[in-house]
Order: sequence, then structure tokens, then C-alpha cells
Amino acid sequence: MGSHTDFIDTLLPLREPTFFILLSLAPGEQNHAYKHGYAIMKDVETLSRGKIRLSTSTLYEALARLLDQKLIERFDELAETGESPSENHPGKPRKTYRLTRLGRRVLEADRNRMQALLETANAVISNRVA
Amino acid sequence: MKSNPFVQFLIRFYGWLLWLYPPRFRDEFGPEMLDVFHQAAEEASKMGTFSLVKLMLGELSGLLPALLSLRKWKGDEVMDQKAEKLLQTPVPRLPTREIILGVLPLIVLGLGTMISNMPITVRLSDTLTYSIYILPYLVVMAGLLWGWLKGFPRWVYPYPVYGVFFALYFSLSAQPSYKMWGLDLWDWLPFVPMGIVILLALRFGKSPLEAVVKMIEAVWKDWTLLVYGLYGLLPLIIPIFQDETERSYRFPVTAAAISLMLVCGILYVGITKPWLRTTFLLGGLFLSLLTASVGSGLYWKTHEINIITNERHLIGGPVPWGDILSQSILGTVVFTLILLLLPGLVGILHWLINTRRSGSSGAGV
Repeated sequence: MGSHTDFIDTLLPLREPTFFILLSLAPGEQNHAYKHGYAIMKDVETLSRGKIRLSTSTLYEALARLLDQKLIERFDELAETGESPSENHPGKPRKTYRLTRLGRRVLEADRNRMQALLETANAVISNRVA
Repeated sequence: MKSNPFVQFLIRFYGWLLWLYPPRFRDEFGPEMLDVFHQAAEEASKMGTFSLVKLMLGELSGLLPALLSLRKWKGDEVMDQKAEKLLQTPVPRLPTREIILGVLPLIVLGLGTMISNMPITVRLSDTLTYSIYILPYLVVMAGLLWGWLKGFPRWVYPYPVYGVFFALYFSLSAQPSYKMWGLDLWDWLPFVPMGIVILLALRFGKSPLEAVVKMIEAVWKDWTLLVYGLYGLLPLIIPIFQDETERSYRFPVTAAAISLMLVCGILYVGITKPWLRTTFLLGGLFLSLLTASVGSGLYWKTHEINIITNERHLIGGPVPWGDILSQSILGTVVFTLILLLLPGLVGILHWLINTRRSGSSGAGV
């Protein structure tokens, strides 16, 4: 546990593109737990309100790094989801990605870090305004 | 649905860009990246050509940072270690005797050139004059034969290149009005010593053809050997830069250029670190030619010549160093690139083939 926490600390703060990539892979009610590269690209653009547009090189450099750090996992679309490949790419099983447990913990840790920063900033600014 | 031709072109272009990535990364993620780019391009094409252009510009801007970042990618760690080892692996140190043998043609040719450009008015017989040119060539041929019989040790690699280029150079410098021992210079004569060397090597060598294959393999693996072979041409090229200048002027410039060449040639043969020896080799080539070029530019920018009487006199006024240096540097860069074209192609081809081999031998996930 201790070593995991230490390891997580070394990864923070996450760069913005990395944060949004992990965020796009975070499972939720309307969010599949797995996505392929193009979907991640579009999702990051939506989540960042158009501020971050990932090129394929940036995206895959990040995905390669996140795979090495074991924050995400990679699967064949058909094997993982049971769904057929999309009609634009018939017969081509695409690779999909999802967060690992460690990845979820890192995402949460960065969220908590930013929350703490926000609370501190709000407290300081409110005091000064007052 | 059929994509428009511009989209197809961009996808193809993107496929070429993928070759810039480290081989293992390309094997693992390349098809996926191409697929994603395809989708992005199809979507952008619905919004117009400008969107496509923006997409491509975005890709190009992200390319370099990604490539730099991928140098530290763990997946290519093994490749990096191999590449680093190659870059750091020194070439074996040569004994002093072999270093001297390796630079002997350069010394003989260089001294021959300097002597022939000395500002002395000693009338030599035709035989003696031409011997100044022939002697270095015969030294090269003797060294080539000796090295061939020894199975092409490393010191001999410059000799075959010198030999071939010299034979070609002299055969093209045919001067029908000049004779030596009743024979026209040079025409087919330069190939005679080379022919004799080949016959003797085939007759007395242990495995002469295998030695030739070994030499070709060595040049394939180390393109700088070919460049060093071209060094042998410098003593012939440098005086050409100084053509028609006065000897009293020509000699110091030639001597300076040749000395630079000699020092860098000796350092190339003697130093073991690959990057350092290559630096001296290429630096020496460039600086020698630049010295000759600047010398020539300086003379012609400061002298006027009467084309009828051939009288020359100094032009007064400040020396136009800006003009001289800019023209010399540009000319030398172009000339050096031309000289390096063949060795450079060998080096690039070797690197490309090696990179492809290493990439296809990667395991991949």
C-alpha cells in the first residue's frame, strides 16, 4: 500500500492531456469503461470544452506511457466488448483501452489534489476580499 | 463511401510519417494510429479542406515532441541500449605502425602537392615532374597490394578508394602533347599498376576474393571509410581551387589546407571514439576545402589581371571579407555535399536497412 501511494505521488501532478485521457476512460453511468483511440480523442476534446485537441502522436505517446505505467490496459475490441467492429472498419478488430485499478487511484489522487488547491485558493481569496 | 483524393493523399502521407517513429512503437501502435487518423480525416473532410489542413498541421506540430518523448519509452529500451552501445563502442585502437600506414598515402600525396606548388623556379625534367604525380600513386598501389595480401586489415581501406579515384582522375587528365618514356600521358596508363596489383593479389593472396568481400562489408558498415578514401583526392582538388594564382600566393594556402587535411586524417585513423573520429574526418574535409576556397577568393578579389599580357596587380582598398567568406562558405558546403553524396547514401541505406531489420525483429504485444 505504502509503495503504491509513493508511486502515485511520483506521477502527480498529471499533465492536462494525460488527466483528460484518464478521465475519458473513467467508467460512469453513460460512459463505457473501454474506448478505442478515436473515441478517446473525441472525448478529451469534449471534456476539455474544445481546449485540448489531441493529435494521434500525442495521444499514442501518452497511451504508450500509460500502458508502461500500468495505469491503463489494452484489449481487442471484439474480445473485450463482444461487439462487432464498427461499420466503417468492417473486419478490423480495434484496440480498446480501459483504466486499471491503479489508474483509477491516480485519477482520484489528482482530482483530490486539484480539489485541495481549489479549496485553498477559495479560502485565501474570500479572506482577502472580506 | 469513397474518400476524396486529398484525404487519400493525406492518409498516405501520414503512413510515411509513421516511419519516423521508433520501430517497436511503430509495430505496436502504427496500424491503430493510421486507423484513427483515417477516421479523423474522414470527419474533417465533411467540414471542408481547411479542416483537413488544420488536422494535418496539428499532427505535424505534435510529431516532434512525441518523437522526443518516445526516446525514453520503456518499450524501446532494448533498442536504445543497443544504439547507445553502437555509438559508444570505440573502434579498435591501431598500433602506431598501422596508423602510419593508414595515413601514408595522405602524407605522400600531400607532400607531393605542396612540393609541386612551391614558389621556386627550378626547371625539372618532364620525367621528374611527372614522377611527383606518379610516385604517390605507386605508393598507393604498393600499399594496396600489401594490404590485399594481408587480407585487408583496417589500415588499408583508404588505399583501394584512392587507387580507383586516382586511376580515373589521371585517365581523364589525358594530355596527349605530354609524353613520358615515349608514351602519351595519361589515358589508359593509370590502370596498368592497378591491373598488376590485381593479378599479383589473385596469384599470391590466400583468399583474395574473400578479402575483397570483407573490404566491401567494412565500407558498408562504416561509410566514413569511403569518405577517408576521398581524402586522397583533396591534394588534387585543393590546387585546382588555386589555379592561375601566383605560386608565392598559392603555396602558403595549399600548405595550410593540406596540413589541416593531414592532421584531421591522422586523428581520424588514430582516434577510437566513433563520433570524434567522424567529426575530425568531416571537419577536416570541410575546413581544407574552405581554406583553399577562401584563399582563392582572397586572391581574385584583391588582384586584377590583364588577360592579354597576363600581368597582375593588387587592387587597392579594403578587402571585401564579407563577399569572400559568404561565397567561399556557400561554395564549400555545396562541394562538400557533392563529395559526401556517395558515402552519405551508403551510410543512410545501411541505417535504413538496419532500422527495418531491428523493427521487424521486435516482439510486439
